[in-house]
Amino acid sequence: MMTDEIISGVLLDEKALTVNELAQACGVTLEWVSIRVEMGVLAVPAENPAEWRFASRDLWRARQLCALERNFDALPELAALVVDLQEEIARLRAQVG
Amino acid sequence: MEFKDYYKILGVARTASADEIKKAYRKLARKYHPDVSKEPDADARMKEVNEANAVLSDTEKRAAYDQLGAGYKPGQDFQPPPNWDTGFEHAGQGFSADEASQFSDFFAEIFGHAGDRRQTSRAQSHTQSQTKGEDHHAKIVISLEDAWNGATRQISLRVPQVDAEGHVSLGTRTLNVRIPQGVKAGQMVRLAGQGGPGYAGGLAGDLFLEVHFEPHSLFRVDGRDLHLNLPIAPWEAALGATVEIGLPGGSAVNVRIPEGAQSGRQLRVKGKGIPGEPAGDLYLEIQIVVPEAKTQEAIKLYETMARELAFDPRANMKGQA
Repeated sequence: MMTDEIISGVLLDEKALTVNELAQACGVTLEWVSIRVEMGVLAVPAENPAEWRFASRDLWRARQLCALERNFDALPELAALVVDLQEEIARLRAQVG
Repeated sequence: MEFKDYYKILGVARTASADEIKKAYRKLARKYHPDVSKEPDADARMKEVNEANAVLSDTEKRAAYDQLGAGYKPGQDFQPPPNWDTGFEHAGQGFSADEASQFSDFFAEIFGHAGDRRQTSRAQSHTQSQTKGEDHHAKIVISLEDAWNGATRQISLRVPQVDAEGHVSLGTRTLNVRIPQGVKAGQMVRLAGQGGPGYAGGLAGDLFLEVHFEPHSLFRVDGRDLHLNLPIAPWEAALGATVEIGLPGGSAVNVRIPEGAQSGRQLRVKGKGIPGEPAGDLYLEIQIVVPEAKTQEAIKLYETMARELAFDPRANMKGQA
């Protein structure tokens, strides 16, 4: 299947996801997202869920958390620690080049 | 199509309990995790392990696989008989259509219909209400030049396709995607309506592309900032110089090296990194490269410097050893 049409995407960091869109993108419930926001694992600048916005890093973190919790039956706190460490490894590797 | 021995992939016996399968999967998931694995084929092995686990950790799928695969050996040519799965219900649990698209043709042939059934049951459970399709995720690797100038790149995605006889296999769907200028590694590009099909007339899901950069032979990228090790001659370091540096977009920038520059010193050239809002900066780490004393003339020059310059590079080490 191939078309000549050129598709333009939107950068998530310019138009971030709502809480509903993040839940849909990760295949999780709104409650799952809310709990991780309360835990501070996913950072949002606002208190009202309707104003929560999630950019590229949040989507990446949320998907990693889902996979760790599912594959290893990991506690959310433990999965969060692993994701923090994954980010730190990625940052250090980028510095090394 | 080759038969896949999922038990062998997970390293468990055909009689393994659910708990043994779970333990074996977790052990291999750790072993082949991309952040820690040193295995050259870790990514491919991880996909294989995920696929094996998706089947063997699901009671219905495992039963269907056991019945179908009895007597087959790994790599043996395999074709499932028509309607072999009558009586089995694959609810599609444990993996999403997005994840299943990463799996093998073998998996698609056996369990590809699961997605059809799931769509049907999902639509029915919503009493025919419109429901958005699943969002899909993929990675795209671009060059630094693509990020610098913006580019249109062709990407191929694997999608389940059904032939006239109802067999499901993984086909390829090709998209031409415009990569916006100034994109950073790790950023996500959202392509609306390019994910899984909607249910009961609902909208299609979205496709999220995670942007990765090919390693560059000269530049290291950090966000929109560029880092470059800049070799300079000893006289350029001592006397100062203006050097021309070619940038990934094809342009060049002239940079003034201050006199007395030392190896390891970093210079920042504001706004000369990857273009964007704001543009990144260009960081230059100076590396003084010493010419070899291969000719009589070069040897004489070095000997003159040794004699005439009162220079001790180890002056600050004295008395500390």
